[in-house]
Order: sequence, then structure tokens, then C-alpha cells
Amino acid sequence: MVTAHVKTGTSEALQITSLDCVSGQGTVEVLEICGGRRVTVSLAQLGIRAGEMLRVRRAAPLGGAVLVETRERTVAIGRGVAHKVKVRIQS
Amino acid sequence: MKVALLGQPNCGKSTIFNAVAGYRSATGNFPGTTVALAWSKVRLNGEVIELVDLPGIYSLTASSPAENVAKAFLLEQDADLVIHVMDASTLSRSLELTLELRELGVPMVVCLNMMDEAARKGISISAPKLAELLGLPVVTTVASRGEGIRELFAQVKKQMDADASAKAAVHSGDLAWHKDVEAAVSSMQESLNGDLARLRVPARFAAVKLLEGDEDLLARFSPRVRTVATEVRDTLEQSHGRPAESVIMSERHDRSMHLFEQAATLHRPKPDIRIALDNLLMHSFWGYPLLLAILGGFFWAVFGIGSILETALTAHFETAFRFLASGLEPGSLSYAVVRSVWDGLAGGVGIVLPYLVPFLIGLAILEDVGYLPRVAYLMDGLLHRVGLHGTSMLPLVLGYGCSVPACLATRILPSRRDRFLASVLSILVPCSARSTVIFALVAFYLGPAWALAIYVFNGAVVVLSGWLLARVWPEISAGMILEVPNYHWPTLRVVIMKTWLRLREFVMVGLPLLVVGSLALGLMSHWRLDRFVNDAWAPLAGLLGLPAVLGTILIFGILRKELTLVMLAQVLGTAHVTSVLTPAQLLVFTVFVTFYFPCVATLGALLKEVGGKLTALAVTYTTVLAIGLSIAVRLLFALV
Repeated sequence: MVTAHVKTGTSEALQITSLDCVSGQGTVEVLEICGGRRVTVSLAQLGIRAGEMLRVRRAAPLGGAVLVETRERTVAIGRGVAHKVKVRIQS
Repeated sequence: MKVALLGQPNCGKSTIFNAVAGYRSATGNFPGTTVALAWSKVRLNGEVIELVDLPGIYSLTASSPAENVAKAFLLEQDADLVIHVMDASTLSRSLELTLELRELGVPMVVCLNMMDEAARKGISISAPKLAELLGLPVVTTVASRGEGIRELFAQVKKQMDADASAKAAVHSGDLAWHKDVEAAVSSMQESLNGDLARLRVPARFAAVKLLEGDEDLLARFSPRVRTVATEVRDTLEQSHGRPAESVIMSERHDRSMHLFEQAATLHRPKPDIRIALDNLLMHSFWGYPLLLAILGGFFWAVFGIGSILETALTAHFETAFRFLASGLEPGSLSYAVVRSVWDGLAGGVGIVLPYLVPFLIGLAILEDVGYLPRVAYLMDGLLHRVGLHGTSMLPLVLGYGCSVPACLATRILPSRRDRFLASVLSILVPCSARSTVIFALVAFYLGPAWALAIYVFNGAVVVLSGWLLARVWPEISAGMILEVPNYHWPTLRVVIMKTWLRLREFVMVGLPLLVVGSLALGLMSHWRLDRFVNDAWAPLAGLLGLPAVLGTILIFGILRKELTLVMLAQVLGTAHVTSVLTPAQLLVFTVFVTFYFPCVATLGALLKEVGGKLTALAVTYTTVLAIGLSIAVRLLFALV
């Protein structure tokens, strides 16, 4: 099974990172949305909020979007927004 | 009686609306297809009701102008009943909106749509159990196949006929949240008192929305209430360690999960080939050649079908004209009238329609199959470099159909600056009218490769314009958050109805305008009035290396872009335009028509969406761009 991993970082950073730094497929837990009200609400409406598990499906090349699956939906998130989503990588 | 269809984006509201109202509201398999209200009078067991299709809304905390339209309708228009449409395959998320609507206290019928999709995902839902838990009638449907629509509206009628006490009983469910949150809501509710009388919403709904920091609602209350709201929000934030709106959303989420677990059971999902399809179409490398192949295939199909039909139809029209004009003397007024009316009709039916029909069919399939959000995902990185993001891709692709709905579709973007940029770029994209000019002139006379080159050139100009405008109006783009729906097989009926919905506008408005415009040009030429326009245009024509006689048709082209094509043969005096124009002139003319002044309908849409000043800016930009690019193409050919 392919698991998600962080591109670079220390041993602690291997566990906690932002969504845009997750490469490969795998499951992550959302820890925090470090954005304004609009971003937080828009993500929460689609099921991306603290405590939720996401499955990272893929990331587009050249700084493109990240594709994640929540429990019920598939959501494309731009890299800028993905950077605001702090996640913990699940083994 | 007013009945509104409300639900989250892409749950099938417009499909239900169209099933009972005839095809009046465009549908598509991407979030945000409906950005404005669609109304229709529908007869329900002898009683006429007004049915309203609202833009999709994830929650009653609107984040885009399109969502605001739905929210404003709900709060201000007094719907007698709401049909709350839910995508059954995303039940737990959809229930969060249901709980919000219950707080609003509006009479409601729940429609669990897309039950087939839920079954495919392994979700089995008990509608009676859900109805019991919610205290609301629940009807299951598969709207794309017309299943359950009759039962849904029978339930709507039954609910409308119920007396007031029965309707009120519907909302006596248990809405209780955690004690401290309930205490915060109560404390907020108590402070409303007099202020609430001006608003027609229940106290609990207002209190909850104020705690969520709803800016629209906060602005409608006195400073005293706003101060209380800030205090209570701060208390909630301190005790929970996160913003108050997040606390409230979590409460709703927990409640909806509880409802979901009681009403639904999960099974192993069926194997889904669509995942493999996504792995291919959204692949980091193969996704891009496949995107080019799909768009290229679309292009070749439209040109292939269009050119066969054009050749056949124009030959018949020419034969018919010879018969019609057999008794008329060339140069006479009656000959000029018959010739110009026939040219308008032949141009519309024989040249425009052969390309327009396959183009609109192809666009309808692309929209319905669910590929466009995938294109947005693939293109987000590139668009980000030009100051936009993937969601802007949706108005841009719609722009290939018509610039008017493309401008309206920018409402799905939250920022005013993004809406302006997307509007300007979408009007630069050749709409179906300008595409017929490209197909019928460039592809037909110079070959399809040249037409393809124009599309590629146009794409490059759109990207560069985005880059330029983003620097003129710098702002950090909000970034893309876009739901990617499942692929759906488009049904033949929907594709036909959708094509007809768009074609009807051409047949009812465009075609008569082509005939009238053509007649006006014929009369102007007969009495030599067109020389005034052509003389004024002559200096620019000289710069572009085009004949001065094209001036009048470019003015007419502002009414409808197809007029430039239909009238070209008329002013040149021959259907074989390459006998008068060189290939370079043909390309310069097409580039100019592709980019110059937007048509009247687009101008109206722009004014409505971005206002007078920005419209003036957009029009100036496109016109200057058209002149500059046309001169560049001319010089390029002169050098080669």
C-alpha cells in the first residue's frame, strides 16, 4: 500500500505538515485550518475541518491543486489553500 | 403559492425543475451551474404554483454572490414551501443544511435524490426512518431518470394542503445542542427582543446566525445586539478554544452524523470504473495530453459534421435563390430586397446552424459528463500563475458556448476582482457565434489546422491577458475550493433539451436578427448609405490591410457576431470569399472579429455583473487588443 509522506523535514515534521506538502496517496487527519473565516467556512462546508480524516488522492504538477476525498466528497483544493490546512499523516 | 427548490450545489435541483417545468434551467455536472433564479408556473392537480429553482448553497452562510441569491430569496421572498433536495450519496453533509433550514422554520419537503448513486457507494437509506427523525416528509428520487418526481410533487401538494397547525408540527423536532452552546444561543436570543420585529426570521435562527458572525444579519441589528453578539462569541471561543462559527458548525455536524447513523446503513461499495477513469484523466502527466485530445476531438467532430452540412445546404440555398430571383432584374430594389433577405436566411440556416448544432451538442455532453471540474483541477496551477485559480475555468469553458452565461457564471467566485478578471477573459474566448466564423471561414477555406491555430493563439492571448490584468489589479487570489462530482452518463433527452434551450435563443432572436440585419445592409448598399460607415472605418481598414467595405458589417456584428459571417459574402458580392480576400486578410478579419467589441447581449451582462466603469475598461481592452493583434497578424504574414 502506498502511504503519504512529507517531501522534506525533520522526524517531527514527518508527522505534522500542511496539506500541500503531502505527496503520494494516503490518509491524513486535519489538525487546524490556519485561514480566515471564508476559507474555514468554505472548507468546513465540504467536510474539511479539524478532526476529520482525508484521503489524499493526488496533486497536480507545477504547483497545481491537491485532490482529496472526505468521507462523502471529492474536493480539489488550490495549493495556496492547501498550505493553510495543517494535517497529521496517518500511518 | 410559491415553492422553492433548494439544496447543496449539484444535487439535481435544476433536473427536478426541468422535469416539471419543461427544460428552462440549464443543468450541468459541476457545482454552480445555476447562478440566478429560474421561475416557472406549474400546474399541480389543478392548482397553479410558482416553482423557483435556486442556486446551490452549502449552508445559509453564503460565501459567493450566487449563494447570496439563494439565501436572500429564502429570507425575503416568503416561500410557502421549500423542496429541500439532497444528494443521497452525500447524506451526512447535506443534513447539516437540513438542520439549518429547520431553524428557519420554513415548511419543507425533503427530496432524497440520486438514490442510485448512494446505492453504488454502498449507502442504504431508510426514508421513513429519516422522515421520523426529522419530523419532515421525505421522498426518494432518481431525477435524471424521472423516478419519484410524481410522488415528490404529490407530497408537495399534500403538504401545501395541510392546515397551519400540521405545518407547524413539522418543526417541533429536537434541535438541542450541548448545554453550553444552547446557553449561548439562549442568551443571544434574549437580547434580540425589539430588533427581531423588523426581520421575518425566527429568534433561534437569528441568534445562531449572529453567533456564526453572519455579516449580512449583523448589519441589520442595533449596535447593542452586535455588542452582545461579540461578547457571547468571545465566551464561546474562550471555552472551546476555536472560533464560535466553528463551534456551531461542529454542533450541526455532530447532530447530522447522529441522524445519518440512525437512518443509513453502510455496505461495501460496488466496484467503480470511474476511479480508474479519474486516475487516467487527472493523471499528473497523461491528464494533459488527454485534455488536448478530448478538446481536439471535439474540434474535429464539430468541423467534420459542420463542413459536410454547410456544403450541402449552401448549394441548395443557391439553387433556390436562382429560382426565386428568376423574374427579377439585378440592380433593382426588389432584387436587392430578395437577395439580402435570402442571404440572411441562407447564412443563418446554411452556414451558422451546421456548426452551431454539433458544437452545442458537444458542449452539453462535456458539461453533463462531469469533465469540467477535472479540467479546473488540471489547470489550477497554470491559472494561478496568471492571477486566477481553477474555479475560473468554469466561466471560461462556458464562454465557448456563449459569453452571457459565462459572465453570469463568474458569480461562483467570491472576490470582485476575480469576477472581473474571469469576465474579461471569458469574453475573449470565442463564443459559439465567433466559433462559427472561425469554422466557416478559416477552417472551410484555409483548412482545419489554421482554425485550430486560431484557438491555440486565442488561448495564449487569454493566458497573457490574465497575467497582465492580474498585475494591473494585484490581489492574492482566494484560491480554489471546488467539489469534483462523480462522472454521469449524459442522457440523450437532457443533451437534446439543453442543446435546444441554447439553440432556441438563436432561432427565436438570432435568426430573425440576421435576416433583418442582412436586409438593412442590402438596402444601405442599394442606396449607397453604407459608404459613410465604410469611409469612417477606412483608416483602420488601411492599417489592418482589409477592404473598406467590411466596415458596415463589423458595426452590425456588434448586434450578433454571426452577422459578420453572413454579411461577408453579401458585401463582397460572392459566396467564394477567397476569390476576393487573400488568406492573410481572411485570418486578420477572423482575429479581429474574435477579439473586438463584445456583442450587445454580452455588454448587458457585463454591465450587470461588474458595473459601468469596469465594463468600459473591458470593452476598451478587448477593442485595443483586437486592433493590436490584427495588425500583428498582418505584419507577420507580410514578413513570411
